[in-house]
Amino acid sequence: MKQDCELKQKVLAELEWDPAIDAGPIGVAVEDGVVTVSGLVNTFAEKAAVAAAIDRVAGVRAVALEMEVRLAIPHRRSDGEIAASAEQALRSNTLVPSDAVRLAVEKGCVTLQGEVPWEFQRRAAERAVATLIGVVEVRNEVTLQTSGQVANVAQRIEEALGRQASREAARIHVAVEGTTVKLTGLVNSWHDRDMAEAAARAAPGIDSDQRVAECMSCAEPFTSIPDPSQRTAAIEREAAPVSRG
Amino acid sequence: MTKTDSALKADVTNELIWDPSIKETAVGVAVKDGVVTLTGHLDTYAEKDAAIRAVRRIDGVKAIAVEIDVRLSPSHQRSDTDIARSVELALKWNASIPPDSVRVVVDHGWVTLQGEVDWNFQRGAAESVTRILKGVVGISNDLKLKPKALAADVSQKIEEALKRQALRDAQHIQVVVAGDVVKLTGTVHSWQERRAAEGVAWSARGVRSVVNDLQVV
Repeated sequence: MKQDCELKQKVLAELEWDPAIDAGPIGVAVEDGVVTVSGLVNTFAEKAAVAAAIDRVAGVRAVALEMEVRLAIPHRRSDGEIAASAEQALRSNTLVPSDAVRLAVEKGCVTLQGEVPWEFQRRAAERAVATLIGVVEVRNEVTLQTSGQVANVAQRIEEALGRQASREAARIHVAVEGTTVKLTGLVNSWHDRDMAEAAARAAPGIDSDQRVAECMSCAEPFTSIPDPSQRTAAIEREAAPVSRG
Repeated sequence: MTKTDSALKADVTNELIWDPSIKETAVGVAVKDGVVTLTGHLDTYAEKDAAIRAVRRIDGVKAIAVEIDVRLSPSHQRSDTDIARSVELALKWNASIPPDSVRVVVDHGWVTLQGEVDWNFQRGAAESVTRILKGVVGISNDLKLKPKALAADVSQKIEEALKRQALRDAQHIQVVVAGDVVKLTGTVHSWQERRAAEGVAWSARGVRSVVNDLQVV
């Protein structure tokens, strides 16, 4: 299909363009706007960079990351060393509450557990360990504490969107059902979509159910209008606990 | 349609309240002719940074003056030696930053990063790992980029990348390359797009400086 062929060229060009990515060993396949990347990356940070690069390309409907992190020899560390550096990274981080997050490392895969009040703290913990040398995967199982239902969450999210980009806000619909925030509508670019999602993520005191944490952390699935000439991307986020990578 | 100063002030104040990473009661907001001035004392540098980002997100902000100082709470106080050690550890353990490329100087909690790296994203990574460390009250990122042969057709490649990324305003962005300096002029609709366009320009091989004159309208 012509569109898939063009999209593949764009994705390859974006991977080449991004200096954080060694595009050589990465293979790209596109079918109906769904991009599958396979091959080897050198670090977990690079894998995250690949995911972000593909997200930026207009016309991508969904991404499957079938990549393996194969650490270069100078990047190999024992699980003990990784655990020690991850502990230090969490302990010295001003955004992560003290002693709130526990971690375990197995074959370079870091699992985070515990409970924090806010989503930004949960993500800060993940970011703090995701960039460490030797890490091949991060599982963020940190949950959000109960802070009680806050009234009018949907309305408050809409207000936040209105403050940030009034033009787009009018076209974004916010629905809060129990523990799930769902954004639907059309935005003009992926950057606007990210902005809208970030605004929703900051929502205070949404129910403390585990599924909120999962939902608020997932970047996929998105759907988008596959016609790039329209320069529009639909925002749709489901409650399905899909974690990136 | 431009927002009035009082509407802008209300928006900024509400955004600071909305953002859970900021203790909004500690921040004073003044607005004149679209220029937002923040004053007050915050507990950490990460919080100060979050406050600036929150203001940047708001539609209609022309410029930001930051008069916030960081006053560490007692539990975050560290000696400069301890801070230097934790910055060095954080840099050493970061997978994106080349080993031994960054020198660290700490003076009363203010961290200066010096040295040369290959890419701007590595400069950014060095700053990010430093920003969230306990005891840090400010950062001067003096990292330079190593000189490299400029990619051929840089301005055309940047324009292509802007289009690929569906930056809505790609056609309103002018790219001018002079030596290893890229200058962006024109208009975009949001700070996100302004930043994204700058990121695109920084990714061109050989670019050592980006002048971002894009106006948010």
